Amino acid sequence: MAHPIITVEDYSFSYKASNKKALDRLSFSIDEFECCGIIGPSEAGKSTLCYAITSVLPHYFSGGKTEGRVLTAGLDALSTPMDLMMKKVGLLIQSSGVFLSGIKPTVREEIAFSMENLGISRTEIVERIQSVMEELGIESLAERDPLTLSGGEMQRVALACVLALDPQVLILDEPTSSLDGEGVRDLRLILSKLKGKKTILLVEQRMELLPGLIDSLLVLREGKKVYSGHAERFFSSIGSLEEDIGAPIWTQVCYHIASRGNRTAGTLPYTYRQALKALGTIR
Amino acid sequence: MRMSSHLLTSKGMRPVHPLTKLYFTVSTVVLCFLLDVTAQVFIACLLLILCVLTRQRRSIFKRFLRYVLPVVILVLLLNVLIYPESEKWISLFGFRVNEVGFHFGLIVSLRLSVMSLSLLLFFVTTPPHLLATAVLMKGASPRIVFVFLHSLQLVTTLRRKIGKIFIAQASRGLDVKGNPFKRVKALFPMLLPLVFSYLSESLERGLALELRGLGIHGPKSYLVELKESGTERVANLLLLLGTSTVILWKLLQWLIR
Amino acid sequence: MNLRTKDLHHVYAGDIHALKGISLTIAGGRCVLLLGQNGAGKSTLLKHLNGILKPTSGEVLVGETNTKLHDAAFLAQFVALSFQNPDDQISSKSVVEEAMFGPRNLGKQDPEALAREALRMFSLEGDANTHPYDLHPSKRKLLTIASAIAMDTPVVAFDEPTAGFDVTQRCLFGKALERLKERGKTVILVSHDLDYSLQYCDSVILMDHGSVTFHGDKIHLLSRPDLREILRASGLGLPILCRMSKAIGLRTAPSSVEEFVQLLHDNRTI
Repeated sequence: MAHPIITVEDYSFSYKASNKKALDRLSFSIDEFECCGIIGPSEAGKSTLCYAITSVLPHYFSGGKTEGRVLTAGLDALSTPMDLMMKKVGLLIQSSGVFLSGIKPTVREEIAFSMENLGISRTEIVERIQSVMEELGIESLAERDPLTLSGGEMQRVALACVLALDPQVLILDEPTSSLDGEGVRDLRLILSKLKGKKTILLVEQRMELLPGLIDSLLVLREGKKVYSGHAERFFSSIGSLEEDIGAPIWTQVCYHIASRGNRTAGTLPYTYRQALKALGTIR
Repeated sequence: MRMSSHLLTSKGMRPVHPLTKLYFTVSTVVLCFLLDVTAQVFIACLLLILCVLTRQRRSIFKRFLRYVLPVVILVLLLNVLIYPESEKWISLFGFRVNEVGFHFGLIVSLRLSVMSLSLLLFFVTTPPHLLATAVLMKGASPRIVFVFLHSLQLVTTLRRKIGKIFIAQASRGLDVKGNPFKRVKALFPMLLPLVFSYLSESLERGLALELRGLGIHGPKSYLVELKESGTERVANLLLLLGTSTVILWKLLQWLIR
Repeated sequence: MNLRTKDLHHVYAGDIHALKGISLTIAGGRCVLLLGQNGAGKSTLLKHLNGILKPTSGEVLVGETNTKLHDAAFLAQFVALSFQNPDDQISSKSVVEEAMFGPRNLGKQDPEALAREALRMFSLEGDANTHPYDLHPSKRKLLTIASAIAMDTPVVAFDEPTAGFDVTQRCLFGKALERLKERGKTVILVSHDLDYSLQYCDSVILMDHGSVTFHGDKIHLLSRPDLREILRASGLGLPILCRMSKAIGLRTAPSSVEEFVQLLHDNRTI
């Protein structure tokens, strides 16, 4: 029986010296082992939400106004120190180049960095490094200087650094924004392997990645919740498709066909296969 | 660039603990400064032997010739030419030079050379991250150690960044040629993005480091094993005691006078 | 203004042969999509077009001007190049000043008007007096794109312009591309986002390890029977609309959602 691992209750946050609320009375929950997609236009508060769940907001962005509660893996995200939160939730920020410390000479030592800071035993560090490198297929990069890696390689190393702590929750903030086609395919493969083993939050702009990967969807706009629930339900209803939020290309195609035929109600395909089926019958 | 701190000894390759090397270097520099020429010559010989034994000897001597030797020669020349007038003159390579100035110049040059050689030996043979680990093990603040390591990379990082900025700004018509006034004016659109982007990146970097536990208090562990052998511990103690003794001795001498 | 390269070779220090004899002509007034894996030579080629890089051998002609004879600051009046990282160029304290930087350097008559017009294209005119670093990173990216367009050059090139954009921002960029085409500008687009970029381009250049493997009209590319293979060699997958049209048996491959819907409609009425 799945129980919520992340609960956000009436949560609001404004950054210091800002009148605008970055997040406005947000309430939703995510079950353990669920894969939730977080989408919305630019400046909707998606990254801010990631920071809130990871305990970053009260500690790193001090002086901001907070209301409400955020519970992550049984801990109060607004008051738990980051060293406790680190072991429960791993956040992969958008820029992997900045995420890597830049002070470690090899990838192996880079992956060890967070574990060293936590005081995890050396034997365990060695074990975890090996297992996470195998999982992500980066054994060949072990002795490389992290500063000489390509964008896609850097990101896989950054992901390894996060996974090495074995967090229950994994949050990825727009991981594909600087990847090429191959990089996107590789990432999707890695995420589908992790699905079901960890709770995953994926902030994404490329809607085509979501079907088949995410179970639920959270849609934000200007800090407010637009929708939270089953992913398919959001995209498959003609009425709920929003211009500034977008949808997978195949869904858009069927949406335009429906609008041409002046249909304003009905279902749209969510997955690629569903779209082909729908288009087949249209012809 | 991967540096090794291995010494070619008869026992085979064995890395010397970075802290022992640090204590050794500090001791030689201090002693060189405080003691007389005989001691300096002795230290110089010791350093030369060590340099020859390391793998990076070529790099050390190359850097010595390129950076230290010109300064040493300049110091010598300055002393020879500018030292206040005195009675005695000697002939050097057909030139009439001030004897006292020449001797003084030699002493200063020797001291400078030996101190530089010691520092070069240390920095060329000690990978900064190993030194950082050694210092962390002794309880140094992780944040300060990070800043130190980060600054070492800074020059390379900033140079690369300036390259990219130059390309971006030249593509927008920024002319870096022309009269000196124009060139100075062109500096601002080059340096401002450097400063802005570095500061902006620092915020994100700080966040990433917190996420990776840099600010955590409590015992740390280390992937790279750095163990101080018995010999090294004894050596550290001797160096510390020996150098302190000399410092105290010199202090006393100075006070008595 | 058309661009020509004649047997262009570029070798970086360390014997890296980035461009291996590229000879092509980009006709004026067209929008060209430059595709290829990381390391294929796309950025290198772009930097030759405005003289940032000089050929190791061969030549590059911007209109009738040989890039070997002039520096980038001079060639910037012909070719405006917009780079990936906005933080590599922002040097002004307000958005409008930043957009005026390029036109001012080029000695344009009314740099402010050009800047404001470009800002309007990207809905940034409301932020004209804001400090660029007070903007969200994706808005800063829009600013650098606007800054390049404000230079009002006959050729504009964009390196990965839409990375990190949301739907509205991609739409704004697309509209800007159409405006540029209407004005007869030559546009060069380097992008990994095939599904998005194909809508706006007329022709495609495909690069692989320093050589050009395809250069021609978009329609010719999309109708090739070996499209999947030729794209795979450049590390790209089939565009989604192509996959869809093949799967449902449409004869031609559309490059935009509207085109797809139209094709389907036409097929039905036949």
